Amino acid sequence: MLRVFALGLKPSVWVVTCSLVLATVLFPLGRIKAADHGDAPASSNDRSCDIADVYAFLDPNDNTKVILAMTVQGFIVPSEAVNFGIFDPNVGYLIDLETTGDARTDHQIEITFTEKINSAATPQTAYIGSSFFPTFSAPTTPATLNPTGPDPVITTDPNTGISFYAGLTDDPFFFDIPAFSRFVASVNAGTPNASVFNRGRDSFAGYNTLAIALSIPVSYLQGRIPINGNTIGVVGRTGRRNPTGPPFSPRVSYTQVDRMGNPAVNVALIPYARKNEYNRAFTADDAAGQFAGDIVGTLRRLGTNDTNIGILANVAVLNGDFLRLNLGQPNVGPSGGTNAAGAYPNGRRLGDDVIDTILFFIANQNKFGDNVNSNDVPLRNQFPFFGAAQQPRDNGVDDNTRN
Amino acid sequence: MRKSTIALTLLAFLLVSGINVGCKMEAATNAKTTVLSAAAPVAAEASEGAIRFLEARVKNDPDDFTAYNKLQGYYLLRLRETGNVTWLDLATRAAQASLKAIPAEQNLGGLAGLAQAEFAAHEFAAARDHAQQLIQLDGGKGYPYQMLTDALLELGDYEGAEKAWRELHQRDHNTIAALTRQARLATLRGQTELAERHYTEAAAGATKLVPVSRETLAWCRWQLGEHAFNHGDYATAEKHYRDALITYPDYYRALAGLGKTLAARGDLAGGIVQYERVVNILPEPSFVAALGDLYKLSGREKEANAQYALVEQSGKLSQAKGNLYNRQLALFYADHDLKTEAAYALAKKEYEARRDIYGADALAWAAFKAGHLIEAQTASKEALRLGTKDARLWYHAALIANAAGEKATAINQLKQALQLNPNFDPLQATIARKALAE
Repeated sequence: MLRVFALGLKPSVWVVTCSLVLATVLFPLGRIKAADHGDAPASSNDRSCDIADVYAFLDPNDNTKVILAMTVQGFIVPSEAVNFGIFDPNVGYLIDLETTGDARTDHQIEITFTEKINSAATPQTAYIGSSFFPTFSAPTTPATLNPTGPDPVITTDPNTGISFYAGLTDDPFFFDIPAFSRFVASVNAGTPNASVFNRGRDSFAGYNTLAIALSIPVSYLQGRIPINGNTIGVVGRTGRRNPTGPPFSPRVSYTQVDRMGNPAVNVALIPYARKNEYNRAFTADDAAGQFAGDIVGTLRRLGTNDTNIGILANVAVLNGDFLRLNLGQPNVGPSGGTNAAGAYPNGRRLGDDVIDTILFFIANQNKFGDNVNSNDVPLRNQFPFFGAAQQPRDNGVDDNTRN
Repeated sequence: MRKSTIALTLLAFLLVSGINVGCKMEAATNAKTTVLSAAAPVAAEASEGAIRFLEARVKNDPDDFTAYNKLQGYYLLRLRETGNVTWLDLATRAAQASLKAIPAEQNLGGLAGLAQAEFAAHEFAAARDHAQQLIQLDGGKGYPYQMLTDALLELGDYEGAEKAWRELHQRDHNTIAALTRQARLATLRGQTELAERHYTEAAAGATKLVPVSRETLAWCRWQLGEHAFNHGDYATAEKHYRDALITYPDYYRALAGLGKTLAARGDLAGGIVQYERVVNILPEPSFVAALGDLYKLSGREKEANAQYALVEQSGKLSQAKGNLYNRQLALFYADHDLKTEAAYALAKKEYEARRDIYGADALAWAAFKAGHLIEAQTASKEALRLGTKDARLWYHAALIANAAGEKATAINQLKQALQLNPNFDPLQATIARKALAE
């Protein structure tokens, strides 16, 4: 079922209520599979809408700023940097904020891009609008095929103090997909085999992704929005612009294609048959229990007990699938922060080993991980924190898949 | 496990292997063409660089099925771009290696890649079966239905194809994938205005793809060229083919289209130049035969015969490779009154496995030339069963009807054919005119 959201300046329009039929059938454990959307010529052109990850953390250099980021279109091979390093002008990229402690979005940040024209070196222009700050524009950082990746172009809006970055970067996510697939197969076969994770290879090493990042002064946020319990909920969403209506019109409507709050929820816990529905649903649907049966069913199959099902449900179901960040919890250290107290599930930093965290709870708080514990290239120590884009390599140069 | 883990495999290959897409209306075509033309060399290098990167990756880690699936997508893209079946072999092997590392249950991208490779190798029944398996595993998405539609169209199960297309349309409405299949169904049913509209819409969509796919856009323009050619509008056809060649220089489909259009407009020398280019890139039997025909019409008998000999040779080679070109070979023999029994046997064998209207047409024509008139009549009826508006189908039917003594039908069909597309084939159209005059 497709639903429409509007990018515009009327909060009442943004939050669309849901009406999907509740289904509580238990499905088999989700499999790692192919294209969420995307692809292709073949099926659709929604690859641009495919959200890879969503991040929210305090700037470890200055905890008075909060960093909100999302990545889209993973697995970009370095030599495709120029062809693929383009934000789709027909897509709306949204970051929803929940600030009252319930399951409904209260404010939004919307980002749209102009068409890529002229040469590869010419940036696109991003328009960053919101329900709580005036719209400003900023150039993207154009991708290159040079030996060294481009320095990030950061624009700080003088009115709000908000900084913005958008461009092609190294994909900071790390995870062994073949090992996970084999683990799922072993669970399905009734013989769970954790030794498949001994490979310890990072399937994301060497690839790039498109990243959008904002640094927002916490005081500005707090001055504009009442924040209950000093905690914000964050969701990334994408939507394709509907054929009618001019671009960048406040009234233009978008059909939601993808959304993401916590890592892993849709991929690992929602069955295939409902993944699209999940992507197109809203956080209020989560809280209404629309997918609770699926998530609990999957966790039971994985052997997760009720206590830990409760913990995971609390994160992703009961108050909607929001990434929640306590703005009072200090975050310190290099590469976007490394202190344990600042780690996921308190927001999410680029370097957090979220897979191991989730596997820990799935395995009833026993030590369990994929043996891929960090990114393949260094993260930056300052905004936007993403590592430099992977550039085309000479033949024979290690692709870093083995950590 | 984040969102994009899922995006992996399928996406990878879908992205590149992209099946038929649309093209664009004329006004916008020109502006876009310029941009794409300028970007062309970059894209080619990028594709080669990506293939090198991914080949190194799977060499280091043969379990990295996501890399195999991406790689497979690039191989299929190269196949679409060049028609060179070396890429098909590589794509098939990559899909098999991917599924060997991680079986289909956890590796839908590998399975989708295999189905695509099977389709490209003309193993349509296998492609259909794997598409159905994908529907079982991931039926919420449009892509398995797209693959099923394609396979069923080639197998001649048009009702099944229409049904599968409806499922695709429901999931991915107004996408290039859905529009191009809709156009194809409309063409087959003789709804030509509808077909043109959907190809045009698909084309408009192709110019908006991010990142742009030059092959997709060129494919659309080529398809619009085919549509115009089949309706005898050679000036428009030439324009579309030339646009396709600006978008994708040396695109073999568009070169062949341009060659036949120039010949249809009476420019034999120009047609020869284009066909010489295409045969140099891809010596596919139908292109080689067409070049032979143009040489023949120009009085260059010796060169024509050399091309005809090459058709037979490549046809034989193809038999070792899974009979990719059996139909082309059968039609070549029948068109030139050569080895008519062999042609009939080839067409009959293929029609047993694949009962589409063009298979029926090939059988009808080959059976007619081999003197099996009753079978030719039956097959010809099958070929016309959808009401397809295609001069070649009507021409074949007319000559068969004439031989069966149905003069009025024959005259009617010849008139229809020549009215629709007066120069549908450099040699056969002349025979059609002669037959009508008699």
